[in-house]
Amino acid sequence: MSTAKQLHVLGVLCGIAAGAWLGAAEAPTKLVTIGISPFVISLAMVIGVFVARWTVPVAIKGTGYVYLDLREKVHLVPWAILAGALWAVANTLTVFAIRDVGLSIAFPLWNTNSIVGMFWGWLLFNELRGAGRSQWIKVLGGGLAIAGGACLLAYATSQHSGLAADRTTAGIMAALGAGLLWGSMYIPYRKAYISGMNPLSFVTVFTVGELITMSSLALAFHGGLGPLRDEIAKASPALFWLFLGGFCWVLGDLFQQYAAKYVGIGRGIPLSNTNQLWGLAWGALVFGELAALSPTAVFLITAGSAVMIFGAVAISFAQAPVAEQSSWRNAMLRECERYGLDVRQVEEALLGGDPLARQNPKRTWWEFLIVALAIGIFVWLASLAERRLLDLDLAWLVVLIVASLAILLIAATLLWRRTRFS
Amino acid sequence: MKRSLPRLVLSDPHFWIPFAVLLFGIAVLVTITKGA
Repeated sequence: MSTAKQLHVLGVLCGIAAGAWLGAAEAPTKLVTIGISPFVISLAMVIGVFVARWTVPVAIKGTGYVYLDLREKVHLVPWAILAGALWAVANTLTVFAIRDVGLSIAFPLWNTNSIVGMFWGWLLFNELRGAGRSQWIKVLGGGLAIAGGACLLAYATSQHSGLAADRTTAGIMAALGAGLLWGSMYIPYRKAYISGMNPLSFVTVFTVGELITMSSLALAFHGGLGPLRDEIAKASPALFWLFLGGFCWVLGDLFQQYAAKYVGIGRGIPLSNTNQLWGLAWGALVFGELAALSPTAVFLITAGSAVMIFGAVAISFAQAPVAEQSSWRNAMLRECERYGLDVRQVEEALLGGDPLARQNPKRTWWEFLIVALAIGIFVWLASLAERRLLDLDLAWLVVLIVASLAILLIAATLLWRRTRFS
Repeated sequence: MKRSLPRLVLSDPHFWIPFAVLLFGIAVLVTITKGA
């Protein structure tokens, strides 16, 4: 198999794994969000994400490696912080959008993020330039199919009652704003990867931007530290589940980063947007959320799922042809020239090599301490967690956990073998 | 002469696209929460 083909397969697999784990992230939060402020939900998840995002890169590559990578491409630090800020604001907007117009209207609107990302990929990073008509049809058609299928799922699974007419405009604005923000968040992602940065280094800084922005928003909208602390204290029995959701989200996002690196954002984002399918599987099979649905709704869900799978398959077969890869290379050369990067090293990193590893960055004892501390936080929160009598389907719970872990293992093993997590 | 890093980043036209989008998002958030 050629290098280009290997990297395409790897990127597609990472996109699929991203969908699975971003979808799984919804599961722990499903039963604990009632009565908690949207800002506190977002903040708690972001703190969970922060803990995981500092731990996973440290465990896999070590702080020395991450430091070396950041030092070599220090110009990408503000980009990563900007991306984290975009994520935090977008995530908060989605909470308001769901509250004001319901998931069935909000989701299709913010799901436009894949089309926004595709546009930026084409405009700024030469994605799809030089691709033939059939690649365009596969990528654009596949992206639209995934977005359309997700809309059908959202429509069929949502309730349509109790919307206040005066809040509709605000809800639509929030959902469209979230789509624009998330779609534009991929600009820094792609910028980092065509500059040869390791995704694990990028997320380490990304999460700082996320935490600073989310803390500022929560403080501003809750009237200061005191009221916010009270809200968090009230939510403490739910914090473990929110942190766990954040942890699953980190795993999904890491795969999304690798997908953005190896197949670009135009192909990577639609694939990771299949998370809606996984979220539905968790809701329907484990939590029994769809038990009372009408046959029409069940038909819509089946049709929506089939359309999404069709879209993902179409993108999976849309490997970038030589002419498009040459356009990608031009974008990479532009970054190297602008920021004085070593072209050979960046090219090697983009082909799945790990030039930084040759410098043998040292592992230190306190990296184990960071991992132990993170595990300790999770154990402590678990001891505070409210044990609710959940009506779960244990058999499906096991099936979905095993399926998610299998996808994680396959994607992580291939990433390790082919790129050493570069 | 080489330009300093902040100047390089700030003179990169790509940087201002996500930055403007972020400001827009914050403005939307402030507007909808004020109206709530």
